[in-house]
Amino acid sequence: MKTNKFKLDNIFQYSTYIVLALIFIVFTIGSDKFLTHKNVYTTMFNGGPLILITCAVTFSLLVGVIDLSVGAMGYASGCLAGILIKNYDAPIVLAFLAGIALATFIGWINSVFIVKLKMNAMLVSMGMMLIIRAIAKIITHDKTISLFSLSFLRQAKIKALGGFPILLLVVFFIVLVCNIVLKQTPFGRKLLAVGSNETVAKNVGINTDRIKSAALIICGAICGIAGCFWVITLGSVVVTGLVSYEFLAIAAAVLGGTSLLGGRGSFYPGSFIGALILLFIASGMAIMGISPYAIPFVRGVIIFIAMYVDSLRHKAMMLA
Amino acid sequence: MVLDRIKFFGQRNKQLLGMLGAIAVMLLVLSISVENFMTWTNITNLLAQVAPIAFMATGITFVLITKGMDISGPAVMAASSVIAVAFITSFKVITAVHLISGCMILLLAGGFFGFINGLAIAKLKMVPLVVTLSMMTVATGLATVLGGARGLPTIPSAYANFFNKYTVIVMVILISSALDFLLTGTSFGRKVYYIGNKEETARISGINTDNVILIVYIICGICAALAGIVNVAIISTARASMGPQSQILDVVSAAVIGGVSVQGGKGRVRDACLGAFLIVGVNNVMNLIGVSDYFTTLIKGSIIIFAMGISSFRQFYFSRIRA
Amino acid sequence: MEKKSPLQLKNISMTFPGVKALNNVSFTAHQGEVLGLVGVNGAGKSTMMNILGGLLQPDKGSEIIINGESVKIKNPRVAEDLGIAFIQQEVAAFETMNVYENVLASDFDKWRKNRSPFLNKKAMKEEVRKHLATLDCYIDVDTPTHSLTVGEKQMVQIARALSQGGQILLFDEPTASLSDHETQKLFEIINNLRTQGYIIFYISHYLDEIFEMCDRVVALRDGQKTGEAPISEINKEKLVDMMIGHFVETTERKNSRDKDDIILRAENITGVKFPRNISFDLHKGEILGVWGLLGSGRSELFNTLLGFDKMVEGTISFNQNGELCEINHKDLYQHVGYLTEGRHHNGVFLDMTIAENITSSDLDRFASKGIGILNNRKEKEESRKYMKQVNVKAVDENMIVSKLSGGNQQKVIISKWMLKDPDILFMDEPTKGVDVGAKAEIQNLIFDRSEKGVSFVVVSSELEEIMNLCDRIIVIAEGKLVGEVNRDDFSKEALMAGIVKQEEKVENEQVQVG
Repeated sequence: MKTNKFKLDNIFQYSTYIVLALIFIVFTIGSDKFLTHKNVYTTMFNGGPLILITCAVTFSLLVGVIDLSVGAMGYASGCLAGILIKNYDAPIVLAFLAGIALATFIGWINSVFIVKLKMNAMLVSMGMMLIIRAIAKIITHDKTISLFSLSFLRQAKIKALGGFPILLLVVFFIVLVCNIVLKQTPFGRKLLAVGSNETVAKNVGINTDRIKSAALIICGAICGIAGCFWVITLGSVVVTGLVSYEFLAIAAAVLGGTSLLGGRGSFYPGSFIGALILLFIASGMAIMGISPYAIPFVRGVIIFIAMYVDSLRHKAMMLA
Repeated sequence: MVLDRIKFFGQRNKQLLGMLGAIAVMLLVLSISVENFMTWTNITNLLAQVAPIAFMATGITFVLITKGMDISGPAVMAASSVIAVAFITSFKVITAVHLISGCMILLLAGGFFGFINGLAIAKLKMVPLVVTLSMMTVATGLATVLGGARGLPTIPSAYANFFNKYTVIVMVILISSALDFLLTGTSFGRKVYYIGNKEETARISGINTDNVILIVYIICGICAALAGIVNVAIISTARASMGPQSQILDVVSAAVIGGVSVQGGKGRVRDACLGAFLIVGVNNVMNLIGVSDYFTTLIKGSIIIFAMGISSFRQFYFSRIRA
Repeated sequence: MEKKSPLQLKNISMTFPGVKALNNVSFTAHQGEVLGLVGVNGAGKSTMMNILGGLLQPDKGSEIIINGESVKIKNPRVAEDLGIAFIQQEVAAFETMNVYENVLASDFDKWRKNRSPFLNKKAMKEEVRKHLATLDCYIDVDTPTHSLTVGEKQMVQIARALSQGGQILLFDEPTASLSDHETQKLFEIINNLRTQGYIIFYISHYLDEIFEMCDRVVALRDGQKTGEAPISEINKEKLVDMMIGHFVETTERKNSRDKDDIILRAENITGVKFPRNISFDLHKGEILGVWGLLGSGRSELFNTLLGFDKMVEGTISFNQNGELCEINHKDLYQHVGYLTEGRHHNGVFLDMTIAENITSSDLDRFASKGIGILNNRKEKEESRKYMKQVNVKAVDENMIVSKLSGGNQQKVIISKWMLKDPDILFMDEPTKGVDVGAKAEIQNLIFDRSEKGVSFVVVSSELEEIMNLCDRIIVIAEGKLVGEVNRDDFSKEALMAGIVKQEEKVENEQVQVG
């Protein structure tokens, strides 16, 4: 019995890799422009914000909180950085730090509402999303802020690897750090424990409120970094920036095997590969000239299937 | 005796009284701040504006009571409207028959989207939020594709003339009271509450929970379609952007302000509709006073958080009493 | 170890809004003794444990003294620092995590690799293996917890308590979900811990266990201490007297029915894991007992038979109009009631009124044809009728069920099934967690109904109860039917015989495989 189940678990573990490989095979056959250094790098580089936001939302999902304000927090961070650079000639590093600080602060506010005041997480973060977007629109007067001074960051590339964008290293680094935090540190275990069963966690003496708050604040901070990354990749701050990224990020995390009920999930392969799957599907479809309207369709269907597989996995676990 | 009755009624309908109070305050503010607000035209206009949100809030009340979630409302509304208008405008000469069958198609489409949601949630046991999230993307995508790059042509004004503001007001009142009765006065409604309170117990009690949940999501889809009927009358055509994804916030917050619990098992259609009135009313206050749209969103966001705060406080308070 | 570390509780009171759960309770616990805490439901045992475990805060004036120092246990963390470890009633585990993570969950920070922020997994696993070894339990520490048996999870929980390095262990109904075999093992462990000088609190409903395990007992009733004595100085009657004030007699079943019409025939019922190939007949008006240890597949038998779990194989026949014909789960459920084991889990709608709960089993009776408009007045009248019949103690039928005591909630569930008036009533542990008085009432009710032709299938963990109640008992072990005993032949030995045989067989098989 037991050996069987482990095998089943293993198949689920590798399923994300298998799906990603399938996507690569299909699109490589479909178009010779798909599997090129340029396409792979650009897709990952432009998808950097999504990968990071997926990591952020994974933190909140691990403790069983669905945070819908992740996209907006990223937007707030990028927006603030952009304004500081454009209007106040602030040094780039300082501007980015300010942006990240702002997102972290918003994460803290979320944690106060959700953890301290015990409000429904989904509605609070939804409200937060609205508020952030509204404030940002008021401040930017609904206009695009162009930032030419950032193009050098965008163009920094490693020639030896066929034009590997240096900034992509930042994304990899953050995924790596998140992964180590989850798998190697006491804090990571506590995250899992709180998400797995909050009552028991409280009873064994884990300060569940603090762990949940920390997860939400870290979620904010990573969103802040994602926001800065987004500003760099785009070279401007547009009003519709990172809209509906919260849904994409949650979908990516779920694709990567993170449970919406908390207590199960990973950054690598989980969130990282999950995000890559969504990114490369979009890129592949674009290259093959499929109507951009169809992309949400396909995405919707894929999320649906991922969720179905997830529920199957849950059932298999409970039966064992 | 009479006094006792009133007291009892008050205890059972705290939410209703609270809502009525809030609405009275809102109307008072409006009539003070805006000259000649209390005219027949203004009031009926306001009521007609409430209709789409009220319909969707009605639908989501059913869903929330079963402890579910449906964020695909506005997207479903747009998609079914686009399907119906595409059907109507595909004829060269449009007669009343086409318009009526268009309405039927609209309602059927809404019900169908709800059916898919319900199927995935009730039968495949998937998480409601994610199911309706993917439904939202799919429906928006469908509306965009069908709507085409240049948009759909307009439909004859006979449609808008028929669904004028008086028809709409009567529709809202009739349909929401009917659904309120369905929820509170019939065995189906009772089953919905049972499921929200404890699905497992409901199943053990011999209730076919899967079917009830399925029907609840179908009702929610049809309610979204009803909102579509009203909205099509307003813009005389249909497009994907008529159901912005953020509108679901208005809908959910209308229900939540109306005392429908996101934890399931509590709430009424009547109060949710009053919540919709309040939300749309606040929008109007802002507009009339001359506050920009963005501030309105901001204030709405705060209202949601505030309403949540009240309901979670209430829960906290009761749990203290019970422990 | 040399120094004595007694735990003194002085004037402990605990007030919940409207209820005084504990009223000036004082007693002392000594090192190296097992102190039994007894009382009926709602007597305050669990409240006392929760106070010691730091989950509840006692009223002002209460004093807890450990090693001569007055302490305040503000939260579980403080309790842990004071050396108090709490093993809860419900087996509480982090299902998605591994065994070793579960054991060490209370203090991950301790396990850093020499002051770096990283965990020393090797040392962690080593430590866990050590603790599990003292418990004589050799589970792989990397096993995901959700795949363990209930008994193994209990061991993990005890290992967690040991790893906290506590000197005071609180066991709250530890055997509630264990099989006999596992219970024996647990007793050995507790005996072991006693000799090592731990202070052990032991709460149990089973008086036999109290007499077997404890050195001394403290009895509580309605939040007050009603007695304290070394176990050697009292007997069962005395203990019950302390617990409830008077000894309640349960009636004997007078005339057990002759076998007449078969109402239900189950053949080869097989589920995914349990049950395996079980067949039995049920007669009209019969009370059939299903006896087996926990984990033997008793509840699974009910769930499979009634269609809540998947039935892989088997046929069910039901007596309709004098003829036994095959029936599917859905139609069968029209004729049966099912009182489940987990009252809070799936028995009642906690936030709804008594009337709404009672009518849930047959709602359509109160609804008009067509759209189903409910007749509220009729609903309430009927509910009142059944509340009276079953003797539910409540203000009126509009009371919210969560405000009732456990026994009364159970009676509401029974009223609910009485209202449906089924031909067969399946009852899984009908008196679990119900105090002695209500227990007798429930038993009498079952007798009364069976006289009127209702058949019962009853699962109970209490041998005495099931022997008192049933006309016939079928015995299952490992999901299989291993015996059938008629009322005339009832004895503990007869019931255990089948099980022991089965267990030996399984163990032999395992030896051969190993």
